[in-house]
Amino acid sequence: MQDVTMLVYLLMGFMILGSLVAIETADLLSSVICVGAVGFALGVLDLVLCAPEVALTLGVVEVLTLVVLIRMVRTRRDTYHATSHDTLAIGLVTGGLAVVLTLACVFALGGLPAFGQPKMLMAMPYLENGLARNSMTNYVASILLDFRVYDTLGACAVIFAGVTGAYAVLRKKGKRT
Amino acid sequence: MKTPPGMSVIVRTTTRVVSGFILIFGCYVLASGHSGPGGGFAFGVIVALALLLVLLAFGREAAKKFIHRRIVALAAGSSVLALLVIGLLGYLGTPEAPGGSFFLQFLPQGKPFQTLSGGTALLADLAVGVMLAALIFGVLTSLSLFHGRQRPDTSEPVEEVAPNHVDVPKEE
Repeated sequence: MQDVTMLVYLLMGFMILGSLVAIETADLLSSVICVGAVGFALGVLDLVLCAPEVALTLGVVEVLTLVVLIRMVRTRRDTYHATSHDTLAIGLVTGGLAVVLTLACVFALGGLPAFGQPKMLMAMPYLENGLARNSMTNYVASILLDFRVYDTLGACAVIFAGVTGAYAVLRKKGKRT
Repeated sequence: MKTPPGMSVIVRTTTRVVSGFILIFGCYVLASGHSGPGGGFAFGVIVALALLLVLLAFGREAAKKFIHRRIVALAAGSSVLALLVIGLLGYLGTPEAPGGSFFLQFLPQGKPFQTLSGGTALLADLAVGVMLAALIFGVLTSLSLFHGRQRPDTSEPVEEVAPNHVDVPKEE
């Protein structure tokens, strides 16, 4: 397990480095490519941590977003420079939010049971009944598409509503020029 | 010679060969999603990526001829509706559970590792995948980034771009 831990730390260090470069670089295209590198490193991290399904989906989505972002950067060609004033205000707001959220977490998490204490309380019924119920050997798909398919329906409705909104914004007909 | 919209001959030829295989791989990911890694979400995004490849290589007008906008809208709407109908069909009930319930497993579930196993979960997976593919492709065609129209190459980047200004893409 030691080598896997080292690999995880290496990948996380790479991701932090990539994020810093993506924030600090002036060129938008380099920034987008750094974001893509961070995303693919996250996919490799999922693969190392034995989650091939998440890794597959993440990789595919990463390719899609990367293509769209690169296309956007190459067609729009506008670069924004954040001034020091902006950075100060954003930093202050972010820091304040972080402090408030940390205090809220300390306050709220006090009432919870200890970490991992009721062991496998939620997962055990799925693991025990899953194969007999729907004979799916992929337990992630089994939970998403059978045990909790009602949640999936809700997620689909949310995506559908969001994309319908995007259509409404992007439409040509009836748009004032 | 007038260059057609889209990318170079190399990209277009490669797209002709490869896009079908990408679609087949997407179908494999869907069909093996309940016994291994994969599933509807990955299927939807892979199919959308294959269509995006066609869109990028041949330009938006050719892609519109390839897949009509009405078909995309129909697929997106009907797949969400199909997911709801799968849930409502659970009220028909089975011999073991006569009353039925929302999203009851009413189909024969098959054996583990079979392609056609999992009952309603496979149908739900298909619905999710088709919905995602149609929605992603629809949004990509709606974006103004993929016109694929030619434009004289200006070496200088555009200086001032208004926030709402929709720029015609420059071919690389």
